[in-house]
Amino acid sequence: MAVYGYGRGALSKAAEEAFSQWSSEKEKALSLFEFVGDPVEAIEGLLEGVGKSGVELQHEARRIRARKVLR
Amino acid sequence: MMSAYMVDANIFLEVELKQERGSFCKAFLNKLKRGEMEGLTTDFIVDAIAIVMEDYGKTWIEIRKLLVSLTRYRSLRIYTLSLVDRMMATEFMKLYNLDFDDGTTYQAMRACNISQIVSYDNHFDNMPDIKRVTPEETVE
Repeated sequence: MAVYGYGRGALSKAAEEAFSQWSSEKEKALSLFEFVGDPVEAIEGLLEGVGKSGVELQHEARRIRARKVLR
Repeated sequence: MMSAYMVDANIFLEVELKQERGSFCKAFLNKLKRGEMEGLTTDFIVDAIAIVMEDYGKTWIEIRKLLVSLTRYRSLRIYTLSLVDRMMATEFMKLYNLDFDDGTTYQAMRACNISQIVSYDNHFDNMPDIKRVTPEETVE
């Protein structure tokens, strides 16, 4: 079965590639978009007042995605 | 060695919601910001947060703020899922009855040899080789 056919080495290589891509994107973002302040404070309260939990919203994302595709 | 965690979407969303759990999630994210713990999330998770924000009326300004903020954490990395990763996710759907998005999260954890996920979602509780922890447990 394919799932067992992937050796640890192959998976690590995939992870290395993904992280290398992330490092390069992070560098690019840092040069293109200015951000001043604290990254955690920056997002705090952005959805304040929405009467749902984080898990409920996360599950809602699936329905939103499906709705957009079917639109 | 520092603990490494997969960070689920609901952790970021709780900080955005600023409810009771928000302070624990904030404390956890602050640890990632300062480099005291290692965190991993996926591009699929980031998209889920952005999509929810948009659906609740947030504009490109807030969505960009979220995205740019992710580059300011000292030890948070974003794993970009490949097509093969997505194929593997379907395998885990079959084997463990996971949803597709949970399957992608599990695949990213497997690829990066991470065995703990910080989440309030109990979907991962029956997985044999991963442990779900809450932010409260990580900041104690």
